Parts: sequence; C-alpha cells; structure tokens
Amino acid sequence: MSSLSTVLRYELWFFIVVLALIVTYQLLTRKINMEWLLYDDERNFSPGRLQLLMSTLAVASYYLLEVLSHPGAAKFPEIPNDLLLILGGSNLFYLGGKLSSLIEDKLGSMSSRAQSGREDPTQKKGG
Amino acid sequence: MLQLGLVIGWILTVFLGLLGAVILWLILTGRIDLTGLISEPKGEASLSRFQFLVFTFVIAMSLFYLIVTRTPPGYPEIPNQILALLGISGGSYVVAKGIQTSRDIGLKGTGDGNKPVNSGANKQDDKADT
Repeated sequence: MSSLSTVLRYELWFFIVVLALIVTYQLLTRKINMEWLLYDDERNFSPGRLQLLMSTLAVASYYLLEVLSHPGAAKFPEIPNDLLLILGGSNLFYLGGKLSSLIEDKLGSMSSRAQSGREDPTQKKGG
Repeated sequence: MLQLGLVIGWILTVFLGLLGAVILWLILTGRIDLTGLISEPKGEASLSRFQFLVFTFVIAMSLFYLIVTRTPPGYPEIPNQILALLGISGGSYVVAKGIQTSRDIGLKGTGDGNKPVNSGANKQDDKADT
C-alpha cells in the first residue's frame, strides 16, 4: 500500500511541476501570447494593469512561501485580511479602468450616431 | 477485499500516470497548443486570465504539498481566505470577460469590430472553442 501511495505521489508531483515548468518556459519565451498584457484596449500603457500584475505576483509568492514554511500543516495557512483587501482593491481598480473605457466607448458611439442622424437630412436635401 | 482495493488503486494510478504523460507529451510536441492560454479571442493577452492561471497553480501546488507532507497524508482544511482569494480572482475574470463582451458587441454595432486585432492567437481560441 505504501508503494502505491509513493508512486502516486511522485507521478502527481511530476505532472504538476512539469506542467508549471512548461507554462513558465512558454510564457518567458513568449510562445504563450503575452502581447499587450500591460496595455489597455486603446493600446496605451495601463498603470492599473501593472499594479494588478505586481500585486498578483506579490500575493502568489507570499502565499507559496507561507505554505513552504508550514510543511505537514493540517490546514492551509491563512492569508491576512489586509493582503486580501489589497488584492481586491487592485482588482477593483483594474475593472474600474476597463469599465470606464467601456462607458467612454458607448458614449462615443452614441454621440457619433447622433451626429450622423443630424447629417442625414442635409444629405437628402443635397441629393 | 483489500486486494481488490489494491488492484483498483494500481489501475487508477497507472491510468492517471499515463494520462498525465500523454497530456505533457502532447503539450511538448505542440499538439496541445498553449499559445492562446491567456489571450482574449481578439489576440491580446488578458491580465485576468493570467491572474487566474497564477492562483490556480499556487493553490494546486500548495494543496498537493500540504497533502504529501502530512503524516499520515490527509486533506488539509481550507480556510475562508483561500476561497476569498480564488473568488476575487475568478470574479475579476468573469467581470472583465463581461465588460469585454459588452464592448465587443458595442463595437460590432457601430461597425468598428475589427479595431484591436493583432496576432494569430484568435485562431487558437477558435480551435479551443470547437
């Protein structure tokens, strides 16, 4: 029975670690598409995205170190509420930027429609 | 009865091992293409998808680490903060996707739907969707 659990343990470790290594390698060599990761929909550099990327990496590495320093724990190490607030706020900031860009687009398209509606009668007169 | 359990255990272990090996092999040979793993359908990389990917790996590895380092191996208790972490990440992904879709529909409506296109990653997404 112990040999069965040992084999299972090694094969699952192998799968997860190799998968993580492949994904990391492909991200670093840009085989996985990373274009425009830090740019908004208008192709401008977005500080909101940069802060979200940094807070994501900071929280992820903090948590991994926490787990590694508690081997054999019966419970996942807890995340301080402050850290969750930082991550939540960071996500809100990012989503707020995305939402404001959407609203801007909608308003822009509405005003262009209204403008073209005003122009139509003159075209009819001219034709 | 114990022997039957042992046989089933070995069959499942071999099956999982083969399945994992095949998946890794297909990824390494490029038959499972990860190019569009964190891309939006239009080709640009998505930060929400990237965040989801990072936290999925972190939680999966942590879970496995805690299970195997415990004696005897056992499933660890999951505190609410972990669920909140995954909820923030997943919720952000879903909301970002909703905003993006709404934006795309709006752009299509105004006939400006081809605005932000750049790489061939959308082909990969189309393949993945099918």
